[in-house]
Amino acid sequence: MMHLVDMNSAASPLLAGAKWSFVTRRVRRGEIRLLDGDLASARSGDLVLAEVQELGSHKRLQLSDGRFSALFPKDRVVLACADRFAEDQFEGVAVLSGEGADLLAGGGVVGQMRSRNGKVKRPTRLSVIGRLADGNGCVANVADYALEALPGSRPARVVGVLGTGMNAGKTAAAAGLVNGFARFGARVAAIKATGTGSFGDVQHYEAAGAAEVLDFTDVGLASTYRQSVDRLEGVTRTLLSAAADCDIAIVELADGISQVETAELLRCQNYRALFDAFLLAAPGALAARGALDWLSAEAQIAPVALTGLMTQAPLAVAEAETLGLPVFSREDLSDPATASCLNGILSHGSRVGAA
Amino acid sequence: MAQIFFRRGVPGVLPSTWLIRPEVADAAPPVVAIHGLNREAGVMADLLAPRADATGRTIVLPIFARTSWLRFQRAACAQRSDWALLDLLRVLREEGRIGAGVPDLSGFSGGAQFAHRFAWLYPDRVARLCLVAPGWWTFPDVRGAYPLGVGLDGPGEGVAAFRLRANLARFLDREIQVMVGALDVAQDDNLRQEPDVMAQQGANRVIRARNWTAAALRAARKAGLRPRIGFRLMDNSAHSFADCVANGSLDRAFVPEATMETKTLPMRRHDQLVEVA
Repeated sequence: MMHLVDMNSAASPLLAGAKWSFVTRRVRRGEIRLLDGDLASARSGDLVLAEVQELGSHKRLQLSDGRFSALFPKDRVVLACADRFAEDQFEGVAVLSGEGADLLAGGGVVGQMRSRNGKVKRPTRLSVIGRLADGNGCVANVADYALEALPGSRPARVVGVLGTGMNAGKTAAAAGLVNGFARFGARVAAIKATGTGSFGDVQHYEAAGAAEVLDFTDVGLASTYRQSVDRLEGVTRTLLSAAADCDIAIVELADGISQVETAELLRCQNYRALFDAFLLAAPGALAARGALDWLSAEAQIAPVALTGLMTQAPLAVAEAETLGLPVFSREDLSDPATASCLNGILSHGSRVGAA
Repeated sequence: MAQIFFRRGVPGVLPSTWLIRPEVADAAPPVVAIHGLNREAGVMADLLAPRADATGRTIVLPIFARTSWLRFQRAACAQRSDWALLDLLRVLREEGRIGAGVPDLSGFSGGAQFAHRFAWLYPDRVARLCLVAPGWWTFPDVRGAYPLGVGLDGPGEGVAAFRLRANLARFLDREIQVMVGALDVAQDDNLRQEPDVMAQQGANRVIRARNWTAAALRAARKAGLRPRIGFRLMDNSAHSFADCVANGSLDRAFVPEATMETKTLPMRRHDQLVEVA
């Protein structure tokens, strides 16, 4: 079913009862007055009112208040048009069409699917009612509600958490670090710098004891896929400036180090200079070895420690320890003694040795 | 005159503690004094109370109850007495009972075991160390896994060893006073006498204290430090805190004058206050 609306028609009758998704949580809803039907002009970040037509892979929507809401056909949902990169789900682009659109991510990303992992169902199908606009007819974009940058300010220490790919254990490691440093007595910021908007990671950080939790959706992006390196570097700088009252920021970069935006960022010296140290999460020792080689060759990065899914397997840990780095499980990272050790390395450099 | 308070803890969560507050408190960081395996923190409190007034420093004497922290002296033990002390100090700061300065840490017997291991794990959380007559030590030596040394003895020990090795220079880069009674040469039940300990550390507390001091000095120099590690034998003193205070003026070393260098914690934290009784 297709909804076509006149340019700049009133939004409120169709918005009534709509479910506002996580990526729209910063939107000042009172400013939304009109609907724009020019879908062909959609840009990444534009707010979209859509109606659920057929349930697929995503059967729940992450709401702006941090709850899940089961989806039903004919539900009206407020989403953000954006690209999506997820090896285990969909690749999609920020394109809207009167013929319908795809729910690309449960955090509220809508667009057109390009490809999907063979293990997942087709995406939940939507009809696009229109883009949301203010009283002047200007289409609202999540970037309109972004935090402002405070140039130059940042926490005293910044640690990056990288991974070999999706589901390598990055978020668990980042949360472990957050918990360990919080128990060590630090005021900790947890930041998701790249990826697709989702409340799962930020809620994990909150549960770990982060004093400040931020992600790229706070600075005007629903997804970082296909964004320029300059913009993404600016995103990280702004997020760090928003966490400047913290002692340390734990910054997770989504996906694997060879993912196109992540790889470009890590190759950028100015971006690397934002960090004092990196940890690498991997599902196994061989993946860790490959990633360490890539990081050394492509980005001149030498992580201070390994972590990730492999730490669930003692045999994998034993193999990874031959790479010459400490291998920390999530439990190790949440130990304030590990935070103490890492704090020393960050503050004074590592002088590991014994008589 | 200094006042002695008792602050009840929560079993398994937060140790109970004696707190000695000087009549006229200044901004000096507190001193944390750790009891031995007999847990006679109250006796120590009575003997140390005059030092609170003499130095203007608050003295904290945690009690690691046997029921909750049986092997507290190992610090990173199964019951994690190190976490308990971190939490206790945070709560005392939040309650305003101690200031934000980095405390000196002093320990007698099993308390000295705990003190040097805690400081090794958390070098930024401790200023000066006073280590008196521990039954055995963690040596800066890869021949032996923690708590004997910083080496690897099997799978799963990599993290513990890494932490200690990475912290070694920061741990040794402080004033450390090692003391032992000259008569503390008995091989009592609390003195570890396994062959590996005897071979590495010596036959009694006096020899072990000398050997550890020498090893720490070597390790500090190897790390490029100018060590501030001293050793003192207390005359006419056996393995008794009261003896050492009476005959060796241990109370002065245990609760020294504050240095001019009043540090504040390198990290701040004001949330997550644990409210306990």
